[in-house]
Amino acid sequence: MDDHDSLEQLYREAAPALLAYFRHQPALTAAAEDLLQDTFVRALKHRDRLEAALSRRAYLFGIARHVGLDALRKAEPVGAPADLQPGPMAGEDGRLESMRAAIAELPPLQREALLLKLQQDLSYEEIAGVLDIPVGTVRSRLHHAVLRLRQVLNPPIAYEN
Amino acid sequence: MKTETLEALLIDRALGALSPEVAELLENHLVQNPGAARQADGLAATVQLARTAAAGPPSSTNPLPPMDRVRQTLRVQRRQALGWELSKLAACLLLGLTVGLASRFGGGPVGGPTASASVDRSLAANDAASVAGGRNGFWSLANFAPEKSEAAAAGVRPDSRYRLRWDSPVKMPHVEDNL
Repeated sequence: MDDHDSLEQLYREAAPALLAYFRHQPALTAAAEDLLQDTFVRALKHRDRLEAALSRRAYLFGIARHVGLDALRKAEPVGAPADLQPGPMAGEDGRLESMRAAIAELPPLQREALLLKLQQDLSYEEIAGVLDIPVGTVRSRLHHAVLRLRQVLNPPIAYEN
Repeated sequence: MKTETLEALLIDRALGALSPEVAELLENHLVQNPGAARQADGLAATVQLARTAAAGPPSSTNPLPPMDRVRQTLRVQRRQALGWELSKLAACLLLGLTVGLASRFGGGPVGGPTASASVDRSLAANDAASVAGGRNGFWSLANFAPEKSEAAAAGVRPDSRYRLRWDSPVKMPHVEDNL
């Protein structure tokens, strides 16, 4: 497989998830394709780092995160992500609506880690690479986020030994 | 097992982050502990609901933008970067050429007639001071051989007829003919 083909394959594998990552952020939805392009341009500028990365997927998400943050700084503030903003959708139960509200109200660092896990299904190690933080911190943020969501939606269940 | 440890493991389980070995051990524990199993089910349900809520709207059916756009942008950016580097190199060469021409032909932005004149005046003043020092200073001939100093004062340059000779660093020097 030559260089051209390997790049095409990487693009086919990673681009849909990256595009979804941008589209999940309402301020970036309209520019998602441009941001995807920007992500790959930045990644291919430093091709050696991309090749040396432990997880190319996580590396690309890390770049996408910075591209998104740069774009958000330039964009108007829009509040919580639209797909997580509370509000009934057709055919939905109230629990889903409450969950969206609860996720939207999570501290930003916890929400970011949780959405990378739930939306992109990245491993703890990959999330640590994307956010440039230790794996233990990722685990801690995810645990706090899940416990908070559970407290909001369900009364705590006592552990009976 | 501590409650906090179990809770952490159950959250990892719900998020699908446990290794197979640990997952198997945990499943055995849950079989033997119904309370822990209920807690595990609660956490799993919470995470599943969160996963559904976070999934958001169905992804667009638009096809991916072609990779060629990325390549084209990269090519343009590399060309621009090369152009910028060449501009910087050209600017350095131009500056060097200007300075070189200015120093060679006496004009230009560095130095110039005013600066040169100032330097000349300064050197002349230093010469005058050193001549005065030569006649009256500590190392003057008059301090070691006054009679010869007079001859020097009459018009003969002392440094052409006499010279100081040092035989030892701890003894005074003596004057001898410079022949």
